[in-house]
Amino acid sequence: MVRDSGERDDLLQGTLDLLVLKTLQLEPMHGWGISERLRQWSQDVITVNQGSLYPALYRLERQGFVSSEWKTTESHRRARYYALTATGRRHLTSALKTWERVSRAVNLVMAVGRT
Amino acid sequence: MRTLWPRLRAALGRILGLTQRAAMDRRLEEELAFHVDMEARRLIALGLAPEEARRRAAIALGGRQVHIEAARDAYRSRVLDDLGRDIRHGARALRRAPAFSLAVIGSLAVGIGAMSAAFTVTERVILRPLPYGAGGKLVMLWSQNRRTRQRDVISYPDFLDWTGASRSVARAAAFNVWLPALTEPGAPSEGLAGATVGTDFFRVLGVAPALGRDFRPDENQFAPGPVVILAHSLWKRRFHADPGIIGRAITLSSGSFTVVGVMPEEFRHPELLLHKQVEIWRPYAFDATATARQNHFLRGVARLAPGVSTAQVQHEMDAIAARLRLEYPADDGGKDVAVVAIEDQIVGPTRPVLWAALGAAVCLLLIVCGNVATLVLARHAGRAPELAVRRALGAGRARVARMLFVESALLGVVGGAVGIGLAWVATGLLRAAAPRDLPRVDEIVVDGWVVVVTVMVTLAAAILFGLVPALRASRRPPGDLLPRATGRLTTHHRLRSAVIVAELALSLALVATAGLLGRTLLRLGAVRLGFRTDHLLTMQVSLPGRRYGADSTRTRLYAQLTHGLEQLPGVESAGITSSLPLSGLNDISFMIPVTPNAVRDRARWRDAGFRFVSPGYRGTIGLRLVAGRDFEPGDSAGSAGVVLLSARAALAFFPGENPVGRTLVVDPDSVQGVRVAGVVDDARDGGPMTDPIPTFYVPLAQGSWGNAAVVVRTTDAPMGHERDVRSVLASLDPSIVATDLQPLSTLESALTARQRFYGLLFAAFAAVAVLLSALGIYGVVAYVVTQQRREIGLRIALGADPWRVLGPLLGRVATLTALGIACGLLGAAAVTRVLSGLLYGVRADDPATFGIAVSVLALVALAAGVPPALRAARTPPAAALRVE
Repeated sequence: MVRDSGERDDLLQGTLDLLVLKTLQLEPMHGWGISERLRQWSQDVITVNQGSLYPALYRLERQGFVSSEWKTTESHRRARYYALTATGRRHLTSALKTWERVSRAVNLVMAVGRT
Repeated sequence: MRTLWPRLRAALGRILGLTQRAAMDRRLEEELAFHVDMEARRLIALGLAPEEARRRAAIALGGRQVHIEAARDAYRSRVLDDLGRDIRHGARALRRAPAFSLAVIGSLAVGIGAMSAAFTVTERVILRPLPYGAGGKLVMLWSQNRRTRQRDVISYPDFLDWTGASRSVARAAAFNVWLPALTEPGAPSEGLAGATVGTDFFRVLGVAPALGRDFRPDENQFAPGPVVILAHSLWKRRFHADPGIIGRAITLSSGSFTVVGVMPEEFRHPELLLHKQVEIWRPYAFDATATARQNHFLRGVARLAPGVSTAQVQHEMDAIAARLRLEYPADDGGKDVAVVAIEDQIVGPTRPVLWAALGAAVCLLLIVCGNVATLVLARHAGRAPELAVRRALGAGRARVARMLFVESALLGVVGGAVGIGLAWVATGLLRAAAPRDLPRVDEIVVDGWVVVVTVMVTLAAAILFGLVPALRASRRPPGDLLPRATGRLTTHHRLRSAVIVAELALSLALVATAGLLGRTLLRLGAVRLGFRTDHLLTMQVSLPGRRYGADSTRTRLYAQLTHGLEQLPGVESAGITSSLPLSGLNDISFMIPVTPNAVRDRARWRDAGFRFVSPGYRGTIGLRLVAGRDFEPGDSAGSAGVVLLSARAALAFFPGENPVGRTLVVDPDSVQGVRVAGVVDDARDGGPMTDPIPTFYVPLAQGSWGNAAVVVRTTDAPMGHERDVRSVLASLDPSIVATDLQPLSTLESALTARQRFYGLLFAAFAAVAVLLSALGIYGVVAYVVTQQRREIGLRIALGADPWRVLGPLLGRVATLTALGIACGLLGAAAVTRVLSGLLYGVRADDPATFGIAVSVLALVALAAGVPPALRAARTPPAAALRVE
């Protein structure tokens, strides 16, 4: 059974999924925290719209890569925290490897003729 | 069950995805709100004014609804996409297996259709409350013969004493048969079923007219107040539902009446007359003779005080009746009071039959589900390789189960839809074919409530035949689903065995029931009525009261009428009687003092029915003269009084003596004796299922009423003479109203209509059940031998005797058949006992009928089980080896 039919064709979406998984590698985080972390880590280059973030989170959860639960924040608010599952962690590792290989290849291609 | 339920719930939840959806929407709302809040805080921390920060955060969020939709798509897509895919896939798979699909849809449609139709009838006739007001219980009051337990009408003084002395009766009214004809100018006259009622009648029933007013207490006078209340149906049919009818005068055969009210559409009189709904009511008026205690002609209806049960009031009535017996010992007549709950009165004997029919339909549906489940299981088994590949490719168990279930559910939905259609057609047929005196038969329609139940039943059926096999098919690990070369004859056949046993048991019960009803019909057809019903045209005439008030004018007219009719070509003879046999109107029970000496000693009075008849009546209807002479034209008003006695009456009044020439007193108010002119055969005036009642016949010239029935013996088809007969009457006096022209055979068949109807109903059920059983047995044997064709072929190829190979399988079918028949005999005994009230001349445990039913089923099992086995035995070994 192919589980993610129709989701590979969108490179950007796949990339967003990868970025979201990456932000969760260290610790579970709520939606706003994920977007804030992406903004900080990318030095304000990547700002994720909520309209993309939450569908991505739900999709990842459905695919079994993240799990979620209600928790209380430091400021005593209720928030939905997302955490990587074991599958998610494996997926992230293999996706990172693919990413490194592809980005190195892309960089190599881009570097041609620059010297 | 404990392990099955969460599984069912999870499966259904996944398919529906609805509860999940609402929860997800709530969760997203909260997450978005939290997000905006946090964003605003971040902006405030950067130095923005709180208001500006919140504004920007909200703008950053953008269209909230769009996000919800996008997120919803994200979590929902799999459920819906998969479901859509499953449905498309299922539909394709079913189209590729048309024989399987048609068999399943067809049997489901029959099962669901039968069940919905039976449910419709039961709900409408039994479960739906009667159209009467709330309050204490409603009961009917009858007298009951202490010996024969036969219910009878009551006298007015009895009615007053019973209800007056009772503390449990809150309100009561008596009513009587009234058969007026509506003779509005410019329209054909129509005979109506009506009732004369106490003015409290509708208040007792707790229903007020929908239009106009109820009868007033002062309208119950000894001189009839000329007012009537109409039934909704009559108002609609004859008066175009004109609201201006109130206060208008209408013309009936007995004069002009003012309409004061119209009853609500759903109101029904508690009793049918002449197999017709009562459509017109007027307050009654009694003269002195009608109020004699021995004059039984009324029905009573009473509303009990709140909380009082039928049994309590019966107890009270018994005490009152015992007291009355002491008070009027002469008027006793061997009768008790019978208190009958109105539901029992109206629906009474029909109830067990309908429950039996509903039970049969439910069993039929269960068996259809069982049959379909075995078909589906067989199909799944045939698809083992496909399922194995799916699981090997990573499809989860739930996923496979759902795919299989969706396929079954599709079959269920289509079968259910066709089934509702069938139920709609079936109830239409039932309404048309049902005997007219089946209670509330006109109310039988498929409505929304029935559709809801059918949808629920369909769902339940789909779960039964779809989910269980689907879970079973998906339970085995992937490797196990890969085809295996050999099988055992007995793997996974428990369900199939149970289905076969249940099918055979139900079929036997139904075949036996249909058989008993069939034999009843044969016996009823063979009963000697005492008179002939063929080639007889009958009609009711009512003479306008003003012109025919005197006995002599009536006598003259009746004589002219019979004479005129006998001149018609194709007419052999004609006669007139005060009440037509088989019409259900022989409920006038007169008690007569047999001899002049007995007038004072009422203990010696005897119960008897009576008729005024014209001289030609006996010959026309074919009643045999046993002794003495028939009436002659000379038996006139001026000559000595004579009577004819029925054989039973002769025996009752003159035991061991020759009655001819003896005298008899038939009028309690006079000691004047009448001479017995002759004795005639007993006549079963109430139809083949009743015993003949002792009856005496009085010459029409010595007594008559303004209403009479005419019988005409014709040489050919009776209805061919309708026009001639009407024109003879019109030439004598056009103001005479003739109604209900019909052959006497029509009335006869109406009396056995219930037996015929139920016979047909159970025959239809039995046929379907037998067919299903045959299919079920054939299917199982065919499936088993197909699965093991290879083994069977090989063993036969290696020299085994085919019967030795197939013996165990056929033996198993025989065992199941025997088991099914045994269970069926038990079931049939229960069902036929319930129906014993419908049977005539045959015992509910009639061994011959049961023997035939058992043989029929054994033969069916043989015919269904052996051919596929034989086919397997003839498989060429080479073909067997190529099986996979």
